[in-house]
Amino acid sequence: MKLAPGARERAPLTEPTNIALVGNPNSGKSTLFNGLTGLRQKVANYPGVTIEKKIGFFFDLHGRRCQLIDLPGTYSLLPSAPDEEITCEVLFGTRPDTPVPDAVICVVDATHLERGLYLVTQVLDLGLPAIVILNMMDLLEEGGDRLDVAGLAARLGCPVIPCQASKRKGLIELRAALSQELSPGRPVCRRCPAPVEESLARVIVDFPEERVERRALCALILGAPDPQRLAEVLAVTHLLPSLREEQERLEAKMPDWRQQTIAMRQREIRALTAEVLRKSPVIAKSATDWLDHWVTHPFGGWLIFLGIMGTMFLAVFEVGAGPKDAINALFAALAARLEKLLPAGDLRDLLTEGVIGGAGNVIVFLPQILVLFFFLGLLEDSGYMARAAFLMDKLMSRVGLQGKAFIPLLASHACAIPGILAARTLSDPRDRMVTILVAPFASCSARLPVYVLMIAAFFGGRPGAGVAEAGIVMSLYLLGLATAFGFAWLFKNSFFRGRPAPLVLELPPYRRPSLRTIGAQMITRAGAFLRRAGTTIVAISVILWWLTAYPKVSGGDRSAQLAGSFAGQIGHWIEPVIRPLGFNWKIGIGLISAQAARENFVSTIGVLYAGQSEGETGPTSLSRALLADRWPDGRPVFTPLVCLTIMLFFVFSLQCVSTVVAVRRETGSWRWAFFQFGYMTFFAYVICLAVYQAGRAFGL
Amino acid sequence: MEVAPPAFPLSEASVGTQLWIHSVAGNARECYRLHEMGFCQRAELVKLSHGAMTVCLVCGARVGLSSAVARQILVTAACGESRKSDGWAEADRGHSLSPEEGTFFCRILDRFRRRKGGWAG
Repeated sequence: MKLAPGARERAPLTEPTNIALVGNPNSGKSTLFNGLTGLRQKVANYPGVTIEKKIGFFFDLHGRRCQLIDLPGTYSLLPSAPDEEITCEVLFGTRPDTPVPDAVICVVDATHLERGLYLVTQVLDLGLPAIVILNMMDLLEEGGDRLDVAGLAARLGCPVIPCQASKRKGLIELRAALSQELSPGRPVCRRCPAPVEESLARVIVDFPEERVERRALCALILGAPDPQRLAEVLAVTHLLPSLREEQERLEAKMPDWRQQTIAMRQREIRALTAEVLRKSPVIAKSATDWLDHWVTHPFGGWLIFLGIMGTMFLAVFEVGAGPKDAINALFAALAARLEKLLPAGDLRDLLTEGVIGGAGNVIVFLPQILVLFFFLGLLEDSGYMARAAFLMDKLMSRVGLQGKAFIPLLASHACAIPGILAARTLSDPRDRMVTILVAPFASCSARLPVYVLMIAAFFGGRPGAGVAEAGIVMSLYLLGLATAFGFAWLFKNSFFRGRPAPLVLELPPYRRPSLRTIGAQMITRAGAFLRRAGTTIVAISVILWWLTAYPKVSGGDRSAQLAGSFAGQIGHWIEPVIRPLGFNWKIGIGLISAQAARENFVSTIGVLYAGQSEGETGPTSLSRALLADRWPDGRPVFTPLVCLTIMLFFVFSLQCVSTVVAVRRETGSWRWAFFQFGYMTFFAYVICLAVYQAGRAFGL
Repeated sequence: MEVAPPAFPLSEASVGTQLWIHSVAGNARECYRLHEMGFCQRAELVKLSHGAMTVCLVCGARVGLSSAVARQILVTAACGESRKSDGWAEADRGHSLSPEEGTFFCRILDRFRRRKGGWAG
């Protein structure tokens, strides 16, 4: 790509050309990014999927390497949330970890042309070479609308390329355009109301002269309701007093000056759109309207939501059970084979009890986790997520949060970390903080193996209770959400007082979910799960096996060896703390190892109970081994009440080091990370204590 | 002298009505984003549905608003059309809007009301 004279900066030939990808939320930026770079960034059909910048590389038609920066979606260059701030900082060239873009690809959803052009005109004002991509042209044409692409390109003064990123149509034209000489586009809307122009003229005098786009930046910062943050980003804090003075002067002279300034730009855009877009003369009620009516119905909407959740958990047990049993049998056969092949000794025990008994017991749950991801993918790709946010808004506003906060909570059901990152889309910092603090209550996929194992023990190992099992898991998930809401209410009425931000969300049209997209995400998730099982969980299982195998207790059976081992000594040391919850020392060791990652509980229990079920080995024996375990007085350890208490402990406690680190990064303080860990663990302990002791009092 | 049409909250407008935005109430920060999303004075919008959320078509995009936001936006009926109490309005400039059909529940409720002699609740 060559830059024409007048372009902001000329890229050195040895360096890759930096191209920023910007656009409104849900306009298809990440789909285009994946199409150009061949990467697999997450894409879905709701606004706010990309919450941090992603970098990939591709080659233009001259073979020149280009660095593509995928940025979070924004409606304007005046950021209202942390994810939008990233985009604006990159475009202003003020982000230290990102090079100044040499060119910008503006992605516009062709079906929302007027909306998309607002951001495009702001980008053109910055004087950056730009290419406009009209994505989803197929949907525009399906709706009977006609767009004059050449006319739009002539008016904007930059290349405009029709595209269908999901089908990779228009990518060659884009590469060809990037190989041509690019020049800054033509600013479409440079005028402001007269009093605003006067104020601008006064402020611009003090603006740093080296910035060629100073007028556009001045207009942005002058219009900002709170110019402090933008002034910091642009390093013009010295302008703040004069900016505030001008804002007050404008308020007095023209109370709606901000609205008039925006309206002026929008009138220009409306005129431009009317010129190039021939709309279909009929506005009819679409299938989306019909579905929206039911999906957000005050009563029917909840039925649909609960129906989807119920179906999802039923499928987890009914569809996932077959493959799970097959993997289970495979590991059992492998363990039996190793026992035959290897002589008795530490190596055999390490492989059968440590590796297979530990990591194998976790891997068997992969099919059920994938079923969960498949359903979450369906929800994300169909367009349901934005509607669920509105359905929840009324409930969430009662606890002080906005409905949009439900999207991070729902995302946390896959893993708490993306859920915590997704809180960046919330404009109110208090809402964002509260969402981060309660997001780990949403049961993540790592809890699923624990729930499944405990439910099997709860039902005494009896198979065929699919509906009941699904019902229990669904109740645990809903309990997690309800607890999140409860604590959100507490925080919003104590540390983070304030009314919730109003919910305004662009609603994507319903789409048939793309099995390719969902499949790609499932493969990525499965890969991450297996990597973790093959590294962290195997490592912890091997360490734990060593702790159970040493020091050797001479002449004792397996139970005596366990009790005398390092693990047994540690377990007996912590047992007084967990005994009031009905937990024995083995469960205690499981809880300690689960602090690294929740799945470790299952692998740890697998190692501790390996070979304790009538001489059997392998994961198949695990639930039978649990049921066979007894206290010294002969009472069974894993009663239904204890199984329930363990499940509750996992619903409420925060047992994931990665989540603690993510919270520290997002809140910028260890204080909040440790506070979250502390209050969740304490709450889990108190609830479990109450439930177990009440259950015992009732003779359970 | 022409009398300005009365302004009323978007939440009270009928589904299917074509409207003009009169003003947006709220703090400057919230209003600014709403203005940028197209909710500016004299901008046109069509109210598409009303339930857990109010859906409207503005700047060619379908935007969902919570009931609190829908109360903050004041609108007037667009010129050249009559606001109907229960249906999609006939609009000017060749836009033919399909009539709002009663939903299944609404039809059952209507039938029930007729049977009970105009019972309102």
